[in-house]
Amino acid sequence: MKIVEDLPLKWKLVIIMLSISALTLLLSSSIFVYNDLKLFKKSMVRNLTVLAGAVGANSRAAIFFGDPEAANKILSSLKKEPQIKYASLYDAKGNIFVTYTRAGLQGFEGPVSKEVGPSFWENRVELIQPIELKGKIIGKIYLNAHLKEFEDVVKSYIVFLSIILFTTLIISLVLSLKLQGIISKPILLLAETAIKISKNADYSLRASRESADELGILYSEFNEMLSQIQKRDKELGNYRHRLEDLVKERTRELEDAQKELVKRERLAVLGKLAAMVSHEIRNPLGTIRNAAYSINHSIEKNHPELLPSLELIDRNIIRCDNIISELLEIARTREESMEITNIDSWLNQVINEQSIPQLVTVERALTSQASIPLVRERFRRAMNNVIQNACQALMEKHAQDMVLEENKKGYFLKIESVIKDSRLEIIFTDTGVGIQKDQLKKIFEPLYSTKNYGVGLGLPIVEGIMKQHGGGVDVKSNYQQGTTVILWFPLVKEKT
Amino acid sequence: MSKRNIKKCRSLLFFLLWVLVYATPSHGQESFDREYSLKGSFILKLTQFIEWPQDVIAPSNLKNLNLCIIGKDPFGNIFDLAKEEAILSRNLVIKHFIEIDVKNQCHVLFVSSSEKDRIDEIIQATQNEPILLIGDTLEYAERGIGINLIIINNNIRLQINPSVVHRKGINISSELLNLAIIVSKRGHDENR
Repeated sequence: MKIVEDLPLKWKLVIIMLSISALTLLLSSSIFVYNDLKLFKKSMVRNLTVLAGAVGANSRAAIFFGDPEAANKILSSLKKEPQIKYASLYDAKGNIFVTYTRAGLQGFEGPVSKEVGPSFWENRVELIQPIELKGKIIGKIYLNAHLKEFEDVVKSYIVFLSIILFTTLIISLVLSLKLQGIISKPILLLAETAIKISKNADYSLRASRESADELGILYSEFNEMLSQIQKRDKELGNYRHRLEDLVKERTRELEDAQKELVKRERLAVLGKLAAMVSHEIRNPLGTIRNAAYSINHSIEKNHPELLPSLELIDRNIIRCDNIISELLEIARTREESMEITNIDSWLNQVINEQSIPQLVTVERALTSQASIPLVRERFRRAMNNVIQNACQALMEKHAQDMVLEENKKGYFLKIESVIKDSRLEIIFTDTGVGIQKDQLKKIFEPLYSTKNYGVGLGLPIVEGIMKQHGGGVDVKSNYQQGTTVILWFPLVKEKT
Repeated sequence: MSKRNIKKCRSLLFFLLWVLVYATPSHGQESFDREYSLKGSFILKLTQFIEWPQDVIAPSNLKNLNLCIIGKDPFGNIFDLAKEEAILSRNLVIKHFIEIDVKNQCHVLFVSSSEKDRIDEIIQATQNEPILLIGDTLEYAERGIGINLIIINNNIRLQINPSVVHRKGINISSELLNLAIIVSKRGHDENR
């Protein structure tokens, strides 16, 4: 059974169909043959009985009168019946009267059973029949016939049945090989599809077959299962992607927060320091300025050679004051109220207030027509810082041009206000010295400066102010070509 | 011849006489009995294969078999003994005649060999009656008797003269005819 269990479905079906047809055929033909042989035996017995009746009737007078000669003559008529091997007549007392032995045979074979009626033996059939006269039994006749005819019939049946069985099995084999596909093919296809799916983990595959039977149901349920698996896979994939994105975003936010924290800490330390230092320095600086003013006033006409030195003192005191102001600005933490401001006109006003070197040409293109909430004083400072930086870059360019003795393009600062991608952008484009690439990364770090007189707080302050407004600073620069600084405000509130 | 010798001779004579009186005749009697017991049985058996015309037999005789014997009766009580062997179902009535009497409704008339001289007369007298004549004497059949029992090779054989029998309206079964020597009135003809 194990061997059959391991056979492919196809052969299982073939074996089942073959064994059913073979069994059915064997059973039905056995019944037929059994019945036929029984009938044949019956007819043999009937023929024998008729023969015995005829011979018995013919010989009854001979028996009755005890005439063996006549009886012998009658029995010898049996030579016309080739199946009769031996025969004999018995008188009323049961003694053998005459016997008959077929020519070619020797001796005489008497009956095994003395009973009246037919009896079958290994190779013969015997029949004993009474001979009657006027209702009285006056003797018996015994016939012994060979079964050659019967054996021939059995033999021919065996040959015939073997041929039928063989032919039927061949036909059944061919038919079952063809027909098994009806059941096995869809199952094999399903199995193949299942193997393909599990091998490639490709759940987009489908087993395609449409029928209303159980196999059709199996197919549609199988496909339905695949669809569910695929759907779940897709959802899982989406979740994974989203999770990855979420992790990335969170990581970036965390990193940003970390950076911000570091920057803030630096600034906080700086602020404390600046507040302390500025208080401590501003008073002596005021005293020095006052003293310088007194000196200037008292020696005004007596020592004109000292005047440049005094002016130098005054200018540097003012510069120190500015630095202190910047430091205080960056350390400032209090909240300020915002005012809705028409940015174009306000910008125009602020640019007018700026002290811009005569060499620099300022171009304006303030076309945004936007109104935004603004902490005006803070933003004025940011504007101030950016414009001063631009002017310094332009002046530096001018200094270089003076050394190289060339001035081709002039010194331009273009200030624009535009609305772009839901942002209000204020763009400052100068044709100054520009910033080197490696420096560009560091310009927003506090206390970093490319200028030999800078503190390195200008751009960090600007960035701080822009962040206060929910916006930011973008800087693009080509070294020796110029720099573009974009201060931008969001026009639509960012989603959180 | 001495007295003693005479005595001896007398003894021998007595012995021979004893033998003559007791031994020899008794042996002859046995073979005689055997022959007639067989013949009697044959006669009764014969009747099983013979049909008499029913219209001429009186209804009272339908269940009887009237066996008449004319002349010297050689059978004695043999028929009573042979009745069973011959499976006779009818009542056997045996009648003895000296003279022919056709009114006695005989089925079978056994003509004893003692009537050899009157055979033609007997045949003549019964020729229109459904009486089966049976004899056991040579040439009886040829002379017009229906069935004659003769001994051939120590066996009893039947001689049948079918034409005579048929003329009387008596029917003899072919089974019987098969066993018999068929003879005609003039000379005999073995038809087996």
